[in-house]
Amino acid sequence: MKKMLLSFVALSSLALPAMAKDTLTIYTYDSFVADYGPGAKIKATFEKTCDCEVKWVALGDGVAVLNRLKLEGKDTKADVVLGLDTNITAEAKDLGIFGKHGVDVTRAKVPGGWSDDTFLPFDYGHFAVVYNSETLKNPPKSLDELVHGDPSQKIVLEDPRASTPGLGFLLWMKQVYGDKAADAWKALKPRILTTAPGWSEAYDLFTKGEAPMVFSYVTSPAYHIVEEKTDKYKAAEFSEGHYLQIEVAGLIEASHEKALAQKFMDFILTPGFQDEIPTTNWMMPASATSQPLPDAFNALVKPAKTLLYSPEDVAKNRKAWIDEWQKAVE
Amino acid sequence: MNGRRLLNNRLTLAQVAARGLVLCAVACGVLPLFWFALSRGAVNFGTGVWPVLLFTLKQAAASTVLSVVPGFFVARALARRQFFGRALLLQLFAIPMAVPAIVAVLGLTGLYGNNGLLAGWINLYGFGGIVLAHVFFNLPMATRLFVDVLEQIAPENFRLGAQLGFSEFQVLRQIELPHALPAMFRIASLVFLLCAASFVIVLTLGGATATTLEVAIFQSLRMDFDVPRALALSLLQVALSGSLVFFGAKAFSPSMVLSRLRLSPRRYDGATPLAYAVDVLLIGLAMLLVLPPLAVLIVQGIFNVQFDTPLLHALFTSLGIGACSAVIAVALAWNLAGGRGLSQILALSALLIPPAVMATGWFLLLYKLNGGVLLVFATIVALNALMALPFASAVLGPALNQLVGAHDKLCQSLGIFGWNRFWQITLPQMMRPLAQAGLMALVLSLGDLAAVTLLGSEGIMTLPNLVHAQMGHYRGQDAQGTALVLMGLCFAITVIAQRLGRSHDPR
Repeated sequence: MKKMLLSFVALSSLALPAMAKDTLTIYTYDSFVADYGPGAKIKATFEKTCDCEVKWVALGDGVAVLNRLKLEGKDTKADVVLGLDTNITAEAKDLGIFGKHGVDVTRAKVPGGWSDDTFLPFDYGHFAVVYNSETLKNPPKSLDELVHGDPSQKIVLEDPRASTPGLGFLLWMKQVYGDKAADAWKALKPRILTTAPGWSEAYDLFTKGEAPMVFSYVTSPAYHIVEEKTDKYKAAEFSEGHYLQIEVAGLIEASHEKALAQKFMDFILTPGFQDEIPTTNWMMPASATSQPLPDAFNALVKPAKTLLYSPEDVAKNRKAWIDEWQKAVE
Repeated sequence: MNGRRLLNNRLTLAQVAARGLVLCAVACGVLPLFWFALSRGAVNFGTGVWPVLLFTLKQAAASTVLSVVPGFFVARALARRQFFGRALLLQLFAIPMAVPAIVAVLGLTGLYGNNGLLAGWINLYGFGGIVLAHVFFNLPMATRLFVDVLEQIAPENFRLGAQLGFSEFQVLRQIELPHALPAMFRIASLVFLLCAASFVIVLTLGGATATTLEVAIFQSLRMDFDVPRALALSLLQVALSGSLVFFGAKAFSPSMVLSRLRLSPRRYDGATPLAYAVDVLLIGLAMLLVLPPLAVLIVQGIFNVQFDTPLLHALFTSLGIGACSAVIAVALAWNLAGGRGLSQILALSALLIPPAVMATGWFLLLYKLNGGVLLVFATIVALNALMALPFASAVLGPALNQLVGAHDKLCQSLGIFGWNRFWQITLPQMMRPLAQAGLMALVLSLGDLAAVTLLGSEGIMTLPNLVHAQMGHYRGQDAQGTALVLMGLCFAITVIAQRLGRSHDPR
């Protein structure tokens, strides 16, 4: 097996053309570079500003990117890492491979402001319960109403062990209920149709009409308005506030293309990057775009209060909180 | 069996190479992780392993029994009846295997879900739903495998049975079961391991309460990146499933086989009206299980098929990866057949050790090489081949055993061996099982999402990955179209393989 692979390696090194340009290797999650994602356009725009080539390395999701970095450690081939979120940045920082991004953080417009000098936000989104307004006439107005509401009106959740939104909901519950989170989960349990392994499975069950509610993002209805011309899907505004996800990028200290990586970090908060975010990644841009956002985004819920744990708190407690959740819903 | 052992006690070079290759692939997956784990800390099982283990066994056992036992009887009914559409039905039964788990779940929800056509008939969310989904996948597969096994029985047996006045039960007891038992054991192990390793179905339909060993391994490898725990859990899975397979293989040794002259092509049993009614009922029930969810997927997908560049690109990538892995899997399965114990466990290795563990180990070993796309492609093919190996083995193993048993003494006495024997005796007789094994390996690779997700990072996009990417971008409808293309492709390949196998079937 190894021999066979080695011969493949030999073959492939012969097949590779001589690299004329500098190559910037960026690790990201795969939906960022999929055909519908913002990757291709961002690559093209950035390549215009430099005599270089952007090479995307797409891994399953933000957590998969982090795990890849854990395996590679200091030998990582990445120059820039794009797509971690604030729930995992503390662990990423502990790897000791990220350098300072060197960008003026006041340019980042995210709820609650930004001060981290290692990671730079590129977009954000508030989580929300999204519902079908044709089948659910009385959507919950708070997390507490969701928890204690009519058990015949179900919600599809995501598994916090396998999915980012799943973890987001767990943290939201923890922020609102604190020590009583386990009781709240027990009360919510009859309303949970199922806990899907990921967002896409959960959202598809929801759009197929299996349940009137799903755990998703405040921005989800914008997709249906823009692409499907329907406003039947709405996000429910919760009075306790909404939990926030901020997606960030960082540069690798030991990168051989540090100057280029630095240039890309500077590029992230410019319109050339930010313009692609709203209608391809379906998240809120972390800085100004060249055009105002489409109308669909103005109609979205604007959470009055933002809930967020610090990356350090999440890193310290995640395991215990997941154990607590598992015992409560069993 | 003993006689064959005496004549055939030396392994050929190719057989040794096949064992070595699989063993090496497994070692390359597991050993780097051990090294990584040792450098990080002690192995720790943590709490709550037993309920996880129990649930894994419970759902896998229920799914296996409900797939394999009815599957055998449906196959028996199909094997002794000829009717219009029989071939088509068997071809349709090949499709579920290729459908990505989440697509199949959506097909089932379209039928039995809260908003489905038959809403309220079955509660899909829970233990029952998990088992139903597993049976939807595995009963048709088991049926197809059993039909092949039963059709290999020499028709002379049935004539003899009829002359002796065998009852229905005696035909089953004296002729069919002795032939089918070894295969039944292989098929049952395959289904059991598939269900024990099931992930998307268990989580989507079972929710948070359903945690299998595979889910626990995934969690420790992914969320917690607790490599020691992931390894410990994997070893537990290997020990558990491996010992089951090993002792099972010992208990069900292949029986004596009669050579097949194929002088009388028809079967004489099952002529009573009752037998006829039971067969019709069995085939009807199997159709009711398999066809409606497929129909739902066709109806949902048919208006969403878009032959755009990403789809065509993914189609060719899938075919390329699938064809390469199928060839490797069949070659390995051929050379692992015949042996028992270790070689059977090796054939099942990708079902014993979670692909996520294997992929992580390979990655640790290879990432320092600047392999580029080709290396990634090669590892994806290798992992897919390993994952297809159990299926190819399930077909080739029993067929080859039977053939060797039937011809060994004759060939010895005629002095035909080596290449001559392979070319003139074995290969012509094996065309049909070979086509079937290649088909199963190909279809499995086409439907596989894991290998590319775990190893791919260079923009390699296969059809199941495209389905997933589309679902991840709110494009659930496009995903249905893509899934339908995948199903259509598998159906087309099945039809071709069937033709190929039949045209070479010796008279």
